[in-house]
Amino acid sequence: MKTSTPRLGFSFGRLWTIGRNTMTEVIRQKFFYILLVFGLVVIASSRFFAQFSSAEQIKFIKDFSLAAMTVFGALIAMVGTAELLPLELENRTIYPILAKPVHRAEFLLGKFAGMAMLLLLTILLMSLIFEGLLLYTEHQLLAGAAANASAPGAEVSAQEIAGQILHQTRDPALLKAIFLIGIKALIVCAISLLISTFATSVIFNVISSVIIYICGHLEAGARQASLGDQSPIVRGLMLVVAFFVPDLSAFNLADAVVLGQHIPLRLVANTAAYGIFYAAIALALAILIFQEKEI
Amino acid sequence: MRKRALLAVALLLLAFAAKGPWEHHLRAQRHARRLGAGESLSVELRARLGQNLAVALLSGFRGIVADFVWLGAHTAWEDQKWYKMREGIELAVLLQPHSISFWDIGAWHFAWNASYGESVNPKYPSDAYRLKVQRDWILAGKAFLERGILNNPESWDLKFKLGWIYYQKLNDPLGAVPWFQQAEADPEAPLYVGRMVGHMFVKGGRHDKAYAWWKRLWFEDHAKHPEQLWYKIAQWGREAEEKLRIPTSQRVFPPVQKKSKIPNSR
Repeated sequence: MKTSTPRLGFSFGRLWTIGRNTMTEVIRQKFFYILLVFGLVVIASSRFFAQFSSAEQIKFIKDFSLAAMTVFGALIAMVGTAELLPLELENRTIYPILAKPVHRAEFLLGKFAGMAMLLLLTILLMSLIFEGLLLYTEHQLLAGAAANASAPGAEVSAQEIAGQILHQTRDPALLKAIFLIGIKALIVCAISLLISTFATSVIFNVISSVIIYICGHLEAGARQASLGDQSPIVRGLMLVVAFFVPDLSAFNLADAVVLGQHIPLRLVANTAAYGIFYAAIALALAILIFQEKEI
Repeated sequence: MRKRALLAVALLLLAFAAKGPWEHHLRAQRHARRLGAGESLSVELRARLGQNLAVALLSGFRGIVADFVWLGAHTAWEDQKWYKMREGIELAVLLQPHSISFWDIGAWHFAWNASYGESVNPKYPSDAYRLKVQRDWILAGKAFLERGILNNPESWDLKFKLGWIYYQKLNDPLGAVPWFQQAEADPEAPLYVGRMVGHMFVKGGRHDKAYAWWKRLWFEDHAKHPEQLWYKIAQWGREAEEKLRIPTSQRVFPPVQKKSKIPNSR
């Protein structure tokens, strides 16, 4: 006689528990603090350019800070995610979890959710330091502007100069750039999680993620090359890159934000939707592989 | 089970295929708004940047690469290596043609710093030659800003700075007027840009036009721009009225008062 076991439904509660534990695990890792401190130091070091003009200073602070967020956000996503599954297997902590009524998909998505929360926290922290630095610079520049405007014979009011400085330092478009940096880090996280479902070592995972990251910025070029006059092998290779690798250059709107170019909200939303779509594909593929994996 | 997995893989492949048109659409949107899409790395640019910066550029850090190039140009300025400085500035604007500060400060380096440095360069054979080189650098600054304006037609700053070169370095205040007027037409331009137009008319000896300009500014809504230097405009307007001998009955600017006593309304 056949016995039927009740079908286990998908649970966001279990996913949340795994995610929370994952975040705690990664926060306890040394690499996280090293990368985070490096990121914060790079952001703070952009104050070294105090001898430049106000426009240059503000540009350097924005460029350095957003680049630091991009690099260290991606590095934390790569290294943190690459270690998740191998560590679980090495410490044998995965076995009691999967022996419980937990879907493998829940387990993997929980890991992703944990990393996503950690990335959110990291980017938030870096953003706070960045904003603090901008406000400090603004304060200094405004003091200088007031002194210049009160000089004898000055024909420009302090308010006029202050208006120009505030226009550059209090730019809400920076939030758009930071948001897209976060989405880009999520894509990297999803790719790294996908690789970790079949990779045999953490190093392999990290190197593969770095290569995909760089290829992601060349994806548009690869697509063009796949249609050009290259040899069939090169064209085929480029086609594979263009087919599987995400176009990460789409997220490089930070430069445009720093230069004060207008970025429509619709474009930001569309780019974010593309990023989430790609991360979803990578996660779906990761779940498929993980379901079949013998543990 | 195997069949289900194959079906899922097929669906995922379809999803990968769907991302192509989406990427194309995003690229087209960025390209239409000149947001850095489709910027390729030419062989020449790669050679000028060197290996490390080229890799950084390819990894999406165009802003940082341009900043490093700019820092090199800044060092060359401090060392008074004018041609090296110019090379760096040109490369920086090639990397970020929409960076207003690069165009603005670059032109200032050419028209002010390099031109002055060369005007006192003891290595040149004669004063006439020094003057010629000085003028060449001023014109280089002017041409540089004109290129900047072509790349950034919406920028009031660059138009203002070009007017400033006409006024300060080419001693042509009336030549500066159209540039200050173009800059002033931008709603984002600060109010002092508008005042510069009046000053240029005065410096160029066109007191009639200056008077018309001061009146134009004076008749704007004072409450809308409390930060405007209204008492100064009144002062310059009165000076123009004196100069042009406008009959008292036709004068529009209030008589002399202390700054603190002039209200922000007419």
